[in-house]
Amino acid sequence: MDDLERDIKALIIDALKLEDIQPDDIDSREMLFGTGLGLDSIDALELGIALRKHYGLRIETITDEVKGHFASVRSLAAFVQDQRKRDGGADAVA
Amino acid sequence: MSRMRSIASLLSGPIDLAQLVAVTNGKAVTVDQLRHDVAVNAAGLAAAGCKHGLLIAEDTYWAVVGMLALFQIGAEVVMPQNATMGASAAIRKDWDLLVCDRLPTGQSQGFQLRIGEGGIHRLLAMDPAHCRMTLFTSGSTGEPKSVSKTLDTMEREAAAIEEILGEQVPRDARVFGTVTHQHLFGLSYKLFWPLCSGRCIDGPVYALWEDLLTENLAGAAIVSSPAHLTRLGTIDAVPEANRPACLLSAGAELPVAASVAASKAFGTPLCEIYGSTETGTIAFRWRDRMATPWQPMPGVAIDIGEGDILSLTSPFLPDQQAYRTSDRVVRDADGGFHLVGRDDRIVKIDGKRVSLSQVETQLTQSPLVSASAVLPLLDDQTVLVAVVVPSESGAEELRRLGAFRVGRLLRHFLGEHQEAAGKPRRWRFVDRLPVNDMGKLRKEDLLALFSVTGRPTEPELRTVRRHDSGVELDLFNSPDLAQLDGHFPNMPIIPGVAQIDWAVKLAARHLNLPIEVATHYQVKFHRLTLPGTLVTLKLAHDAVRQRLNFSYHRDDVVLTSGAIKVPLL
Repeated sequence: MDDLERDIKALIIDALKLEDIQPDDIDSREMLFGTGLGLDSIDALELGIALRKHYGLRIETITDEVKGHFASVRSLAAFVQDQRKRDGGADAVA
Repeated sequence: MSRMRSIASLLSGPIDLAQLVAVTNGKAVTVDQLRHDVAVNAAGLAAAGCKHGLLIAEDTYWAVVGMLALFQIGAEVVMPQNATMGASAAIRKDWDLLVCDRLPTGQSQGFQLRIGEGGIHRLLAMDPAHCRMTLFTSGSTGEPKSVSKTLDTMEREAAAIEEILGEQVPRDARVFGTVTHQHLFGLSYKLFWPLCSGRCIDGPVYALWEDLLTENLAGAAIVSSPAHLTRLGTIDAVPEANRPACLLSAGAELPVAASVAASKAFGTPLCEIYGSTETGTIAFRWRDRMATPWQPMPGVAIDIGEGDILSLTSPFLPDQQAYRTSDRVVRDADGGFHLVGRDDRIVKIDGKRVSLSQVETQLTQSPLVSASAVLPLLDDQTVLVAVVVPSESGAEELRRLGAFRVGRLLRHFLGEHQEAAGKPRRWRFVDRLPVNDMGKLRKEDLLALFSVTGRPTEPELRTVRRHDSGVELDLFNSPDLAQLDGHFPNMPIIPGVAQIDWAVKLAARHLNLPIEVATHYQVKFHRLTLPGTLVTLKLAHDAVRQRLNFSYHRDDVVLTSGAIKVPLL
């Protein structure tokens, strides 16, 4: 779980080309959008694409449920694990 | 309006031939002399076969003669931005003959305007709509950008100028200037307005106030600019008997202090002109209080559109199309407007127009920011970037939160005014903004703050082991490697081209091989080479077969192997 959270932090930094920040600077529980990490709607768009590519996540439409998954690194990690279980443990492309 | 005369009538109409047109070289020039001067030079230019005359005149009267002579033979008047041959060379394709009152330094070829002798002369009737001139302005790229004018638009502008200044400036006044007629403002106010309104053109362009102040300025108009009016220095107040009727300024907004100082020194009102080479005069204002609104020129209709950008239709434009300026304005209660920012810095980000000046203004309103520069950067696509000088509290937040989060706070702050496109995506925090001698921001230095040159382009060398056959290097592939950009987005691997390049460079360094680039090579990629890993590069020189064998290993597993041809010395 910790590894997955770290991977997701690295993915966020990489996909959004965030500068001056390291994975360790992101708290797994902090809000990704708004006041926390301060990501915005364009970031959400790009992060969605990166998550789909990297973990094979299927995010069809933005529902309130999906918004919940995107709340923090921890909730994203839970979302990724959940989908992996449902897909019968198939691991993502690395 | 009845006092206005057309240029055509000046040359061939039934007007008083003894009337004063100009004073040049201390001599008065009458309508009769002007006609002779134009006739003799038109004949000379026709003989030279001139079609596009590059007009450079130091003296405004001779600019009139050169221009009218070119119009007489149906040639186009090409006006360079200044008298330097560099400015003329930049537009070399636009002209065929230099026409001047004095040959510029270092120039031996050209048509020098001369004084016409008495006797008979022959002048043709002219159609002002077909008398063409081309002026130049600096385009957004800095290249000269041509702007076409016709004589009739210039005459219409002169008539409008008479409407705003006619009451203030006596009918027989002389018009002096510290600005050149090579630019549109000088051309309109120092040349066409006096010529069409029957006032007297004063030939010279004064560089120094001291020279101008020795002239008889009583009742005159002085066409000047912020460059001169902000540099009045310690000139004595002009004696009441020598007071001009008005001062004119254009080019940029005159600072209030300079306006007050100028009005006081000359004891006369100051009229400020707002316009551009493309549009001619757009608006004017008598500078009598702090924030006097601009009033549109007679005939000019203004419209304030999206983003508070001023548009206008004008009789001084070549057509009836609305012209969109890049100036932001706010409307004033009594029909005028205030300039909020001269904004020629509009870029398209994600297909949306973004005003860089506007974003900067808004950023500066944040308590965290003391100054900022916002500019577009071409990355994979054009993105907005910002260089910020933090305020005291901004510097404190930077220490507390780090650059990334402060940048995000500022994006959040901008969210009140800007859509996503208008919010910079990359931020740099600096002690001060890089400026040149003129106080202008140095764009290349700003952009350099975002360049990748600070990142490594080679792996870090950890150990070197030498064998009889070659060398083994332990290398660490930093996750910051510049080569990782753009090759495999979202999947950082070391590209093959980089691996071949490094093999060549390290072989040149450690095996003294005379190769700089791999022109012929064979390579096989067995496994991916990932950033953030320690790898071993084995290099061996096969002198007999003239090749360099190389292989990258990780934990004894071959990642990449190949051979590169080594040229003979």
